[in-house]
Amino acid sequence: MNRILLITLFVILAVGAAQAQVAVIAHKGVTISSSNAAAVTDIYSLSTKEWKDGTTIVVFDIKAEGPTRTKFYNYIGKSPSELKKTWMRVQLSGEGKAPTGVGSDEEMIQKVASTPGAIGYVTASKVSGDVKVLATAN
Amino acid sequence: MKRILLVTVLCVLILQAGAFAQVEGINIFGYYQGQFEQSIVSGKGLNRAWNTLNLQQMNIMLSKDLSPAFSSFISLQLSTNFNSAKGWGSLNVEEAWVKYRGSDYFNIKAGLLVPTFNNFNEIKTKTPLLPYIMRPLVYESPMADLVSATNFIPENAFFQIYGVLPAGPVKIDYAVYAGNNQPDFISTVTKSASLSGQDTSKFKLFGGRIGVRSGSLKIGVSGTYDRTNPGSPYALPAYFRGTPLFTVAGMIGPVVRNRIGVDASYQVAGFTVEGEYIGVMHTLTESQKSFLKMVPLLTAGNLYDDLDKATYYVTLVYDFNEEWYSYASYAKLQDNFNVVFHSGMNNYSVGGGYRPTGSVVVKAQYAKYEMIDRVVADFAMDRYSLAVSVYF
Repeated sequence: MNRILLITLFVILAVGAAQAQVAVIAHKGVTISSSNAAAVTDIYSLSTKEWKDGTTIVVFDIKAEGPTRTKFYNYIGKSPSELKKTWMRVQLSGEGKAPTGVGSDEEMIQKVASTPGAIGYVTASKVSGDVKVLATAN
Repeated sequence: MKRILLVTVLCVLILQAGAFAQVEGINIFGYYQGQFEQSIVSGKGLNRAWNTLNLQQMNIMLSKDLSPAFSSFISLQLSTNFNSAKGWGSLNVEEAWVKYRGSDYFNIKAGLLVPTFNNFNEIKTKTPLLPYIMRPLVYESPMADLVSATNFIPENAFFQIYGVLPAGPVKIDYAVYAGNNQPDFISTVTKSASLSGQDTSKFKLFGGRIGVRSGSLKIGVSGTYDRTNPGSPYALPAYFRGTPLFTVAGMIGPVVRNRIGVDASYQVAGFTVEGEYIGVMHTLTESQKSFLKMVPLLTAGNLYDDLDKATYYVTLVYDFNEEWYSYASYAKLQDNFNVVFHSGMNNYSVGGGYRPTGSVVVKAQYAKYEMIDRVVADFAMDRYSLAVSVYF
């Protein structure tokens, strides 16, 4: 009886952990198969603007504050205000645009899947086969 | 009938222009900063106080991707309650350039641009990004009567190559550029030629920066090579303008000038520390050296026989959370050429801000400016400021 309880608890915790994970996703045409936090930070800081094959990177971000965005920002080691300042500096210097904001995981997947060179992030459990997963963050 | 036709044509053109702006993807954005300031000046015969409300600055910016490789950017700056009917403030084309984007490693900008020099030069007018209301000494244009920024930093260039090179765990930023001699371009030596705003000399400005980034640590070294005109209206404080000092300074002629800059910034645990040093050195010909030795005599001690200058600032910012921050800053400026700044000026500043949204910053600041040698130049100013900076 105790063993069943333990296994049930373990399964609940494992499912919870999986739901809490955030996946960094990219358009299927992106030529790299994995990435790390430092590289993703450079992309979201807009200091890396192209993939290794020269394709322009199109960055998507989740507009509203929430657990997925918070986990992703923690993963890249940036606070919302730091990123906003970085994006504002890039835009006000004429060097680029702030990432396009999306409203939900579903919209993020749809945008990344339909935009060549795109990168974004969603709750790991919501990843579909339309996009490529580059990294997973807890 | 003609008037109706004209109005109709105008309307059609305006409507088409509007449609063009949307269809062709012109981005229009910008920022402005409105402020209240209370200034109290003290010194021998100088004691006075005033306060004013002021739209310090508004920038309207336009950007457009012309193709995957080319983009264009324009920044129009209106300052100090700009009103052409009343002759207030100024309208300035701050930047207008086209960029060729080869890769992350190689980009070219051509046109009027703000060149890369240290960290602060490119963002000095971008008020929503700055914690300050009054910026460190040389960057603060309202202090232009006392300090001319163009003596210390290259304000414009016309061509720049730049990029980011990966080097293992660090990234190397580089930029090289060319532009006109400053301040006020050399052509003003011969004002009768009526070529203000142009550089009629055979010399040009060349400069660059190389920097290293690793995580939140950024360090860079900058330099420029050009010629300055000590007789320019912008080379001496405004209260010297129109005096015989100009004639004397102008007789020195174009002088070879090297600026050296060092910048560093680091972020940790909510703290950001950043600082810069700028040194301005001059290389004179033998005849210029001989003449310069006579300058103190010719100007009754108002000018010295050394053109070199230097300034630095250090700022510590603490972000309490996403909304609130505070900071303290110290800046020093020294100009060996003129008597007022020969011993230098100190600038202490403390302040803070509140960001109710990502696009609005409410700021408060106290700044003190004080001549180090109060016997030679008895001047001090306390300035209390409140401001709201909006990005749109």
